[in-house]
Amino acid sequence: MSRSSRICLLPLAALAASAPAQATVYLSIEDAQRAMFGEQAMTARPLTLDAAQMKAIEQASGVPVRGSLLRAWRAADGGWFLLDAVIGKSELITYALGLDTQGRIKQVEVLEYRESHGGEIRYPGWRKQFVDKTVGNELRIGDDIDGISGATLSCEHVTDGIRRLVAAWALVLKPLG
Amino acid sequence: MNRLRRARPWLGTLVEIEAEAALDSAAVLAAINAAFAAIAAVHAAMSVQQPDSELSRLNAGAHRRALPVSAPLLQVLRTALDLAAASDGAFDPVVGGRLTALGLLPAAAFAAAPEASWRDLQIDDHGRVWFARPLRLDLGGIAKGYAVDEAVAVLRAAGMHAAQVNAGGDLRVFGAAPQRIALRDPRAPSRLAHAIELQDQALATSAPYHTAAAGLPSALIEPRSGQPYAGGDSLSVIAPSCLIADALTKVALFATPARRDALLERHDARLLILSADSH
Repeated sequence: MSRSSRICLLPLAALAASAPAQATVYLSIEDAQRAMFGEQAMTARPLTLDAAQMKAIEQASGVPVRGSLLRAWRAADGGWFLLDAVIGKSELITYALGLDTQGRIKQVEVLEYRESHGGEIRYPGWRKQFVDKTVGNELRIGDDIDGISGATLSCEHVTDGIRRLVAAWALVLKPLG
Repeated sequence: MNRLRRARPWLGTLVEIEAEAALDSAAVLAAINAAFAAIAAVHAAMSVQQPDSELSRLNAGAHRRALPVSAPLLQVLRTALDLAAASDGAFDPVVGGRLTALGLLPAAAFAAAPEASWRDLQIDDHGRVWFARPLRLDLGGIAKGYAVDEAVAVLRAAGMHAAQVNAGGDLRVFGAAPQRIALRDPRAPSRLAHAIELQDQALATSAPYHTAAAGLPSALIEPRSGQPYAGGDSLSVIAPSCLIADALTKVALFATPARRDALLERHDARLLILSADSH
C-alpha cells in the first residue's frame, strides 16, 4: 500500500526495550506555600483523624478516606495549606491545596508526579541496549526528554482528593477556629 | 535565564507548563499563571462535564432556539464543523450522544440522540448556534488542543524565550532549540517507546491505552457507527497548532486514507503510527 509522505510508521521494538516513564518534581512544599501564601509564616499543624472524622469526611465528600494523617499547615492569615497524595491507574501524584479562611480554594499545585513501573521489569541497562532507530527525526530516549505525548491521564483522583480535603476543612479544620 | 515548570489539574487531565525567559523568576511565574488562567477559561467555557459551562448550556437549549456563543467557542465550533465535513464525520464534535449512550460520559439532564451528527449542528449568519435535534456536543477531541494554543499565545506575549504546554499528552512547544518528546508505548503506557524532536510545533496522540491491554473495548469511538477503535496502534499527529493536531488524531483513526491524506496535506501535518504488528 502506498503511503503519503506525511505518514511515518514506527515499528515498536520488544516491550523490554522501551524505557520507563520518569518522575517529575515540580516544586517543593516551601515553594508551593510561597506560591499560595506569599511570605506569610506557615505553621505545621498535622492532624490525625479519628475513625468518626474519617467516616464523616467520606460521607460528606463521597470519596474514601484511606489515611488518617492530615498534613496541614496554617498560614498567618488563617488560611490552610494541605498536602496530599493520590494514586491513579499507574501514577502517584503529590499535590497541595491552598484554602482561604472561608475554605475557598485559592490554588492547586502538583508537587510531584511519578509513574510507577507496576510489575514491569526495571531495565538498568536500557540506555545501552535500546536500539537507535533512524526513522524520520526519531531520537534515542534518554534522560533529556522534555515531554511525553500520549495517554490523556485522568486527573479524576486529584479532583476527588480536593473534594475530600475541602470536606476535611469543613468538618475538622474550620471548627478549630 | 530562568526556567520554571508547573502542573495543575485542568481539562480533566494534568496540564503541565514549562517556560524559560531572560527575566526574573517572578516574571516567569506570572507568565505561567496567566497561561493557566487562559486554560481555566477554556475549561469553564468548553467542559462537557461541568453543567454550568457555556457548552453545557448550548447542549441543554440549542435545539429549542439559536443561542449566541462566545468568540472562542465559535472559533472552535467552526473549526470542528470544517474538519467534520472534510473527514466525512470521522471527526465529529457531536459524538457526545454516543459517548453518553455508551456510559463514557455521565448522563445529562437532557436527552441527546446517539445517532445525531455534525450535520445537525448549524451556525447562522449572526454566529448563533442551533441544533436540528437534541444532541450533545463534546469538544473533548479538540478543546484541549485549543487550550494549549491559547496558553502558548499568552506565554509568547509575556516574552518567554521557550516554552512547552502539555495537556495530558496534547502539547505544543516553542523556542530556538528543538525539544525532545517521548511517545508512550501503546502496549504499556507507563513505558516510552520512541522519542522525536519538535520545534515550534504541536503534537497530539490517540491510542487505546489501558483498555486494549486490559481486554476492554477502546474509549475511542468511531462517531458514525458508535463502534470502539479496534486497532492497537498509537497515532500521533504533528501540526503547526495543537487544535489541529488534536482533531487530526481522530481523523487518522477513522477517516478513509484519501480524506486523511488530504487533511494532513491541507494542515501541513504529519502522522506517526506506532505499530506493534507492522512487521
